[in-house]
Amino acid sequence: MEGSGYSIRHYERGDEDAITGLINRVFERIDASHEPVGNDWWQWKYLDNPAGYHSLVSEGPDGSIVAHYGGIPVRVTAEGVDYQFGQNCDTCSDPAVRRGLRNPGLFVRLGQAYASTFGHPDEDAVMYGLPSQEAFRLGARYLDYWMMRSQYLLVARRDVDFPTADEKQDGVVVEQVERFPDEVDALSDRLAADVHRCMVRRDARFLNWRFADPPATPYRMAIARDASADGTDTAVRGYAVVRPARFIGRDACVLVDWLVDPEDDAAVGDLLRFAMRECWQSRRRELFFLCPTRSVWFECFQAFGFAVEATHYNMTSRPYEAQLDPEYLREHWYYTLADFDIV
Amino acid sequence: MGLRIRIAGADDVPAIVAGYSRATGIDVDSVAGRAARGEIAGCDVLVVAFDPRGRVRACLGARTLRMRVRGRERIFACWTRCFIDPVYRIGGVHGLLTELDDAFRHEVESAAEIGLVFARFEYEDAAWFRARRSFGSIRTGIELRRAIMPIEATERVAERTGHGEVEVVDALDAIARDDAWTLDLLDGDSGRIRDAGSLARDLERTGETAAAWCVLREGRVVGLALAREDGDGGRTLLDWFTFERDIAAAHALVDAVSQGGTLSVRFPVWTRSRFLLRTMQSLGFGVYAGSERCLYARLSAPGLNEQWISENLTLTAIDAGDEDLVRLASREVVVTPAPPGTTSARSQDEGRRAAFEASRRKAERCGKSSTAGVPASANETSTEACEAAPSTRFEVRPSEGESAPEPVAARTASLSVRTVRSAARIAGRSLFPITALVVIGGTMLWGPWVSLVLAYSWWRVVARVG
Repeated sequence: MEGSGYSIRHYERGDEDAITGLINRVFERIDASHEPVGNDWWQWKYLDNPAGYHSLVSEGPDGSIVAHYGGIPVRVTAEGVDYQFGQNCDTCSDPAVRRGLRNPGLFVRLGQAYASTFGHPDEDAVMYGLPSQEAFRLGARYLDYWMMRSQYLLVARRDVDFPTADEKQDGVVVEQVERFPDEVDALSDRLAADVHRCMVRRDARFLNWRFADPPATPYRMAIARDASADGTDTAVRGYAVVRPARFIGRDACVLVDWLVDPEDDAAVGDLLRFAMRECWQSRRRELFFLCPTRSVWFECFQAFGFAVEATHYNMTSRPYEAQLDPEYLREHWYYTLADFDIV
Repeated sequence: MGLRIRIAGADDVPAIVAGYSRATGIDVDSVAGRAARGEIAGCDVLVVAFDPRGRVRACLGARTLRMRVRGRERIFACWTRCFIDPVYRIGGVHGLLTELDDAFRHEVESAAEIGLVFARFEYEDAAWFRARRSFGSIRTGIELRRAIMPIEATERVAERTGHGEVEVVDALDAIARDDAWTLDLLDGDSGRIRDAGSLARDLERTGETAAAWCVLREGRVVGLALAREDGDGGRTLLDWFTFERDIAAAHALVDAVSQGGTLSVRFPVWTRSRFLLRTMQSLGFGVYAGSERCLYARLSAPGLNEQWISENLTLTAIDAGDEDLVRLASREVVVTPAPPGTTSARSQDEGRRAAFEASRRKAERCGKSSTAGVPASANETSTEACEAAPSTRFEVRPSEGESAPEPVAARTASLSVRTVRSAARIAGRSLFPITALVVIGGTMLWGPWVSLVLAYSWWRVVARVG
């Protein structure tokens, strides 16, 4: 940004006040339902993330922060190999610096710097996000966004046909938890090997950071375990996370994350009952679930009575690792709203 | 001795079909081959590259679509049955695909004022071509699928929707009753104009197993469906239209398509329409990923953008192409390159250099100097590669007077119009700074409204001359 008076640098301790202030200023203008964020939010989302964080800021001539480009790395297992993917988020620039005819503008320059800095097989092997159509248009033009798919949503209203389990599979207990136990790691590893060939490692560390640790956490979590006669802890067979939220302009209960063996009808049925119960208790009329169209769950949930609706989101990815080409990601990457920061 | 590129006429169709067969390995007498022949013959324009022996080595075929966009009629085009012989498939900006596209843009797209070109590339194919040639992604498709429902279930839906008020007739009957009907009164004032003429053309193009139905209400056509038999007892819906909220017409059409021993119906579609998704699901369709192919479009009409198309148009196989285009370029890595100067970028560069050297050595073994210096496709046969390697000089020639089909080719024949346009374009663009000054000065002298009128007039002039 030579000669312009603006500079781009990494986040430094002490910037959080300015960054959260900027985020609040920008997002309040475009989203009336935006809840103001503060330092505790920054601490949790960026500094406490077990996979680290990425944050670039742009400073104006007077030293104030006028733009921010953030990223939340996650650990992903694809075909048994560990990678780091990065979700680009909290990207904004001060409306005051957007005036003028400079093309590309400050925001795009910052995005390009971000991609150059962190887009690397040893850093973010894939950058991804769920930008709105507007943001996608800008990103496709300047930041090389790739449309992986137009994102669809599964919506259940009242009638859900819960799957019935055979006797062999029965004996499952669903319990609501405050934090995820370490046994969930084994479930994640098993399903990453058998069912979802490319998936964020949903281990206890990630799940607790994502759902249990946020300030004023709104999430309700349940795990399905083998029922044991003596009440001791047994293997985790699945889990579900729900929360009431406003999504695609509607108040609903959102099934934010869902991990269970598709063959385990008993656990699937009981976890789905938990989700529907939470939906009714939060007095929402709809339960939303977002997953890839190619996922086994997209078809299963329709069989349970969920309807499919279009959204204005495009699942966008930008691979930096040759093994993870877009066609592979489209075919095998399992994600839910837990992989994004929008709910 | 280079390739000669020109717009083909009806006489060239057999040679193009033979070229298609050579390039794709599809037997022209097979079912797929016959379908391809029908589509090639049904193209409104064919830009073709002939080798010195007169064989067709590559072709960009396009169908035109009459669209209504925000109430105004426009012509869109859709690339279909395009092919490039494997030995000519190279990547980068000097590829044959680029040359064909240049010819298409100059001879067809700008001459016929085509506002948008749709293409269904394979996901990884021609990535850099798409980026360089302004093809943006519109949305990925889904497939609606329905196994045939038991009769009692269908009747229940019929009771709920008041199915009895409409009549479904064979499309040919509808045309016979009233050959001037049109379905361009779209709810959102935008969509493809479907009429008796376009339906008859689509029926002819989609082959002998195609069938179409129209829904009549009080004698007026209020919906239509066009389907093709799949060979496995199922049918594929290639086109579909009902008015928003007309669930009775939708139900009647689904019933008609499902009859005659049909085991299943599939409907590939690119849509965000809540009504369509909800209606089809209420009629027993499930939503599946299908091939999830991304639809790309190059837009040149003012006021159009990818977001608007994605949100406002429901596109069927007739709009977006019945099948994906076959591979048109050599396989290129679509992974975004690592930043220059990094270790990763250096290792990628070394890999590329090695591939380049290998291709150069291969060309030398064939006794040719590889002027293009670009590796040929991996699936080429070595004999053909040696035979064709040097012919990567392309020459674009205007049409040789063939009677090309309406509406595009007739307009492209006018060379004088093109010359005038080129001159006007240069003048128009060089006057831009002066115009800007006039507008700014005008604002100060006469006020903003006069300036706005001036700016708008100038915008129309520039849009007219390209």
